[in-house]
Amino acid sequence: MEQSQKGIFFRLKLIYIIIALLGIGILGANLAINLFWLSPFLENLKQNFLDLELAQAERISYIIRTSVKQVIKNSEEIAISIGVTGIETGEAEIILSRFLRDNPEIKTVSVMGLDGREIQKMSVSRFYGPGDMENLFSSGEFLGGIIGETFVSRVIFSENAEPYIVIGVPVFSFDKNEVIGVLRLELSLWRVWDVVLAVVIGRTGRAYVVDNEGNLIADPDSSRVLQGVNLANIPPVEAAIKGNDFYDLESGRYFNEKNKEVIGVGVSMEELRWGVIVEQSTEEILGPIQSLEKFASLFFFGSLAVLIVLAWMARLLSDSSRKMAKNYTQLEAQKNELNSSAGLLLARDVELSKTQKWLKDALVKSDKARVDLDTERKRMEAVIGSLIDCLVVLDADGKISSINPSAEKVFEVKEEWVVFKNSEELFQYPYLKSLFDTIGKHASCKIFCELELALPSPSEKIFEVVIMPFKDEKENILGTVISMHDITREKHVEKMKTEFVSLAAHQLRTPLSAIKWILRTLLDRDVGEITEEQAEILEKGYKSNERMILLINDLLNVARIEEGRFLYNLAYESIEEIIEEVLVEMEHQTEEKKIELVFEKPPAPLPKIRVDAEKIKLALHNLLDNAISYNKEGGRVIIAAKKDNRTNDIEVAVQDTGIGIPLAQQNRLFNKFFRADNALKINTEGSGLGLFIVRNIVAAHGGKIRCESRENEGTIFRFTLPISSSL
Amino acid sequence: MSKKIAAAFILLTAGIVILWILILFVRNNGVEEAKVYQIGLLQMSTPVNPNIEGFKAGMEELGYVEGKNVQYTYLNAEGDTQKVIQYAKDLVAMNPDLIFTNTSPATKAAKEATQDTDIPVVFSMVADPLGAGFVQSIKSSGNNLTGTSCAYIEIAAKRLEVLKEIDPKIKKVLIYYRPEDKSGGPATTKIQEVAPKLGVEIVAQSVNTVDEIKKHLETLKPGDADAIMDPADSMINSAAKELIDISIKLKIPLFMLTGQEPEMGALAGYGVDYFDLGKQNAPLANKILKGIARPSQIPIEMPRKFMFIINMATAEKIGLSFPPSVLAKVDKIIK
Repeated sequence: MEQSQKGIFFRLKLIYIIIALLGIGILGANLAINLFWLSPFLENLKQNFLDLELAQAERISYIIRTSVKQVIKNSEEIAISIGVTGIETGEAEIILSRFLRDNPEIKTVSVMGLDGREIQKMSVSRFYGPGDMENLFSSGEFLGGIIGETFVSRVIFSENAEPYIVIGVPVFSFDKNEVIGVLRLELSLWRVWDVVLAVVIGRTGRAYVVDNEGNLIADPDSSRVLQGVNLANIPPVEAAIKGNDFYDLESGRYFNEKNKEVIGVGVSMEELRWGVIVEQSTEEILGPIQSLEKFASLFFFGSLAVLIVLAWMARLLSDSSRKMAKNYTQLEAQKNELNSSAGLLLARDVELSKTQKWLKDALVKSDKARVDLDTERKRMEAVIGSLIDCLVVLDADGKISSINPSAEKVFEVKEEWVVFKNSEELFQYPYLKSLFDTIGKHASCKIFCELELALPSPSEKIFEVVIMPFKDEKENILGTVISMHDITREKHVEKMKTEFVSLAAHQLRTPLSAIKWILRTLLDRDVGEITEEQAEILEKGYKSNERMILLINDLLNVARIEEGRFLYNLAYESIEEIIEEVLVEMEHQTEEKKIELVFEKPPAPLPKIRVDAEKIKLALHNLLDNAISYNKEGGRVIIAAKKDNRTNDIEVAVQDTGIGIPLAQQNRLFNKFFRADNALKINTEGSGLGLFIVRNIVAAHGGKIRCESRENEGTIFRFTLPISSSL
Repeated sequence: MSKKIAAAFILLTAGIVILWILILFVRNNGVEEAKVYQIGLLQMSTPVNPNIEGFKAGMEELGYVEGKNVQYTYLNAEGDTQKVIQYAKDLVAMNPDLIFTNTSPATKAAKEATQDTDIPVVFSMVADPLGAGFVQSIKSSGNNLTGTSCAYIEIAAKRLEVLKEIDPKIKKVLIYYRPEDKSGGPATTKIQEVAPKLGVEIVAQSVNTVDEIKKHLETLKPGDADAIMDPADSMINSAAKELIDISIKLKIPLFMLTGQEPEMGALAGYGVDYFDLGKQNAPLANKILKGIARPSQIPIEMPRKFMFIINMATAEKIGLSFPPSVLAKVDKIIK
């Protein structure tokens, strides 16, 4: 009887467990899906929409800034040319005519003399006679240009309500480097209209641009610009006017000027003080998300209802089965507790035996180590004493614990005067004070440092100082070794050389620019017909001149790097976009040499990094130029960018299938003017400055560059750029 | 009994969930039937063909594919001012979704023919839409018209300056024009205003038909004119062949408005880029067709690109060499 009762209870218990498990399983799975997958997924989806809008806005902002900069650069080149020809000459008129023809977005171009009166003025649609010349003495473009600065006006609206800006560029005399006039141009903004028109953002999205007063200056619906719409009270525009970006999913919802609820982002363009706004209707962005949320809620409550039914069914099971289950559970728990205690006792016994053995071994090792340490100390003292470089050793408190004879000579002290003395006593020796002032906080620094030390008069010696802390196994600093190498002579020679290169390059660039324009004018037959043979000779001259300009630019960059004048304009940029722009520039070169140029994009967008885009472009340009120039015809160049999660860096790699670099010469690769033997054989035109510039640019961004190469197989250059930069 | 209640509850819950999923699917799969738009194209004369091509190219970029979702009805009056009025009436009778016109006479005809209808008209190649009375203001037409101006009156003075620069010896320029033409009339006045500043005398010959031009050309003798210039009258270029023949015979420059005449043998053409201007109209038409805006809400737009084309072979025939300052302005050279 008892046996049969037990069987029934067991079966009831089994059914109960199955039902409970089933219910908990369904609800648990549902909760898990909602909590760990659906909720973050929907949040991510919203964030992705906003990120997409932000990426579009930043891209538009970049295109606009670049195109305006390009017009300014072209204008400055034109100003150089008319500075050479003279501003009132027929040649200047020809140069301006060509400039106007090649840039249809320029409405009017004129040249003002030193009194602010226009001397030459032309437009493709208007006739300007002598009576139409204006005096613009009090205009911003004249006042800016006359002091040698390029001026960009705020946005002005023409009588037809078309927006345009005025640019003023100084014209310098060829020989005396004095301002002799100002080039003025009116730049219509319809190219910006084309940029926003080409952007497609979903079904309802749009991008538009406003000026610093909130006036619409570009919109896919050009009519709205011509209607003179002001959007200063729209939140992202309001932020852009104040010079702020607008990016927030919660407060990013607002009603636009058409009274439609939208989600938008705004990007402020610092230099132009304009704002780019990208917005999309809330309904389009959140509609599908809200549908998914509704579906998920319904599914959850449906499951809950099913669980309630299951629970209710479970109540039909007898109380006795529950009591049995409870008793069984209690017994199981007691058994587990006993097992666990026995296991712990055993483990402790084993551990004690191991500790005893380890202590014995340690005692033996300690005796041997003491003897070794003594021998090593004596050997080190002998080495330090014989060093030509100066060596100062500090203890953990920053006091001098030893100093070698070379250092005694340089600092004009004796070891016994300075060892374990406090800073006040040490500072009475001027050279030693100078050392401690220079290394300052670095004396106790926790990492390796390299500094330069210039001793005061009368010594005036310059040293390369290396500070290396030494630590125990627990990373506690035990002291610091300061090693100093005399580089006075090298510095002196380097300074003289840099000054000479800088001066020579500056003097060469101006006439080379003039030669470039003169040759172009001849080649374009603007000053009369020339024969094919003459054209061929002139073309060779033009190309040689171009190469000279590139060499001079390289030399100037090197000179600036060495003089510490290579300025870095840092901003958060996307490395993928920078790479893509450089690839576009290289297209012509790759086609010419039939090289396949591949960009292996990372699977997910890389985080933006704080860099100077122009300098990074220059570095990439140099690396790609080498990869193409020293490649075989029909070869391949791969550029790849990825995130290194270990070091939190972005790594860019440029790989080619070219001639490679001989192993013996690889250590000199980043030196100035170095060119590998095999490179010299196939291309005699390189300056040998490219990789030097690249290494300096990467280093200035806190990154590192390295190279792997095999002769006749190819080369890979990899450089890193830190994501969280302290720059 | 309790088992039956449980079963009913489960069935009800499952039923609600399935029904809700079905509603979601049905709602997302509704497909709109594509509409085929009817657009009438009214053209005054063949030389402005690129303008129509530009408009169609712009429409295609915006998703209007001919034969798929847009049907064009193209009527060309070949310079006949009476025929253009009849063609406008024919297009209105078809009740299209929109009429695209180019040149002032075609626009005038379309404006009058659509007066009692709400058919929108998008115009192009109109020299002065405000002066011609097509619109109340540049910002708002106040009626069923909108479009792009070709700014021929604005550039008239510039064109005479370029002609004088081509051959600084020019003292007397012959111009054919119709006083009542909304483009040629005011452009001729502008040219006459600036002529003394450039040291040029304008011989303005008033005409009514293409035949009158041809007859007058037969009477021209050496010395009657140093150059012939089209002020911007859409009828003048219908006599392009005769104008070219006489200019080569008398060895004088013929200065037209487009690249088409220099292709045929005229010395030069300076004017708006017809193709680009036609394309500029497509977004305006799109806004009207999609119901985003009415024509009166769309401001009139100005041209963005101008073209200067010269024919070197003709220059050689009439014994002229272009100065460097002119060559620097040229967009295209025909050899």
